[in-house]
Amino acid sequence: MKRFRHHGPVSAAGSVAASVTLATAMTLIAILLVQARGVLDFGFLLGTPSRFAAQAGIGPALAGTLWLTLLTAAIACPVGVGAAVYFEEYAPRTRTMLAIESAVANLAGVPPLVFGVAGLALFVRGLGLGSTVLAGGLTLAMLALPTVLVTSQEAIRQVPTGVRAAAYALGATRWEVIRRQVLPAAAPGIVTGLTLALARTAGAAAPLLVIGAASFITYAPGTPGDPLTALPTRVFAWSARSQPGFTALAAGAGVVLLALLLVLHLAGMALRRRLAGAAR
Amino acid sequence: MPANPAAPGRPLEVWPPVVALDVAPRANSALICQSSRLASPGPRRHRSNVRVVHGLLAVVAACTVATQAGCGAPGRAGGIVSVGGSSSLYTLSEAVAESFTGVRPDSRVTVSFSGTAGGFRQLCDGEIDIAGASRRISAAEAARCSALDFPFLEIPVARDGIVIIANPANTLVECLTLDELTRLWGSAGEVRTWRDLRPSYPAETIRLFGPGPDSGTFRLFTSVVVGRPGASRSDHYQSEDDDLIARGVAGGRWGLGYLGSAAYTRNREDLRAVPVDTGFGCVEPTPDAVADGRYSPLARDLFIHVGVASLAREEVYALVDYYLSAAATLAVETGYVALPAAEYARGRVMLESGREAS
Repeated sequence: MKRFRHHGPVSAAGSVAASVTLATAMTLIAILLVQARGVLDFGFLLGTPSRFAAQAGIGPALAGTLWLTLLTAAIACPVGVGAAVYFEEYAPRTRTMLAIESAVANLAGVPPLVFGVAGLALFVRGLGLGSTVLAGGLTLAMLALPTVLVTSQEAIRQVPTGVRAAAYALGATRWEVIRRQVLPAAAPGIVTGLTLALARTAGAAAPLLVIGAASFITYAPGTPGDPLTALPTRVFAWSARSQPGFTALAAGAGVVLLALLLVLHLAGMALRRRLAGAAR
Repeated sequence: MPANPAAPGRPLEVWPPVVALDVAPRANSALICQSSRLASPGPRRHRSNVRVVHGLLAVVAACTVATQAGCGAPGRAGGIVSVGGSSSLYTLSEAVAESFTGVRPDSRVTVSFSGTAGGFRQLCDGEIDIAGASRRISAAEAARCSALDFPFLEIPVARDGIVIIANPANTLVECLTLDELTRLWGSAGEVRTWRDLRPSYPAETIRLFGPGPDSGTFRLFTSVVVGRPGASRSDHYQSEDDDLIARGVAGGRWGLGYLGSAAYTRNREDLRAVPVDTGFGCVEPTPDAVADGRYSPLARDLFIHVGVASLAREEVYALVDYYLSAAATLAVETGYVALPAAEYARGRVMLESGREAS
């Protein structure tokens, strides 16, 4: 750090940039908290939506988002990490393979809305799942996959060749090298990617609106076969209403969503630390 | 002993029969990435955690099978009743669904909106149980449903008017004639500024907002005002979400749009209803004017459509039955006009005959 102290202008510009970023985030959170004051209580967390702002709650939406995140992780993680292992460790380095790989990686930049359109055709109509939590989870898993894949590939690439060579030298099979050396060493990086991907999907409203999230629902989804509802779509529905009570509700739901993402990041950090400790 | 490359200082363990570098017994859990791992204190637990995840995946697989078989998707079974269709009727359906849970706390109802035309498509495809509509079903739509062998009931539940909305800050526009509305919405080139509409108005651009083409409100408005259903200038903001239309007009002084009366009532603090001169002087879209016909031709009946077959399901029948008994009160409360009691009685007769047929 000391070395950089002499680079006055660069360092100053950097700290200004950092402060602006921090200030933006803090302002956003402050505005949400101010707008949501008086809203956040247990009745709000557990209650069902209502046309009376004073009685409205986010219970179903909260349950929906927890379900969706769980399903997305359960689907995107094994598929994404599996694909990364295949591309890095098994796939021949042919031109076709590289084309497929970069095509999949480019999906990370496709707008979430487009995944909604695909999800509607594939899962809601194609598989006949209807507008269910499961269809939502599958759609969000598609959205998460490219991110999980790319970060997992990167993490696997970071594992030193020496580790693989040493394991092979001791007579390990390819799968044993992957399972006992490569994946444990890459695990912290993989968890980082998964956390980022889940944070992206947990906040996505557009794809869920496209596949038909319910605007009003009288109960919390208890199984993946129940109708789709989620926090971001609830924020959207409430923020479109102009009465003052509903603006506060939208802000309150936004605060809960932010808190969820914070928990997700903390969990990711703790898991990463444990995995890094284990691999050392 | 060789140095362990992944963990310097720790000797390599030997795992017979093949030599492997077993420095991290958590490889499995890392592969499967479950977060319940956080709660477990030591490596010995990782097998059970793996089992949890396997169980979860099995649940996902089972659900896929179950919903494909049609026992989990909304609109088909599982005690869930899904209501969709017209956004003009959304407010009433939402209120009915909410009150219904007061009567039957175990009821499972979802309400969404996709426009009247979208609702008919979804209803006859079996995606929703009840479709709200701000007009009667058209011959083409009815033909599509009967081609799918899908008999249904069309039950009127309330009445409302299409309200012309302006920004509250725009106090100049006291009343618009039907002729002016025709010129305004008829073709894109003719009226661009308020002065084009009436020479005494300022030369400010009119920012137009209105329902999208799937909306029954759009079809009625265009057929009454422009003369042909669906014929409207398209160079303006269109949405099936009424609240977004309200937001748009509320957002600028020179905005103008139209909405169903419940959506107007819901957003009335931010909007001003413009009276319409239909030849009998300027009429405000009040419930009285809608009820006694002075606001016609911009007033209409609102309907719910329900498949005859789904009336065999107790929860669907119960909700429609409750809809008919609660509609009169809730309609007034949420900004609609109630139908005469005889209309609801007729609706109930239809419902009973529908149930017998199912």
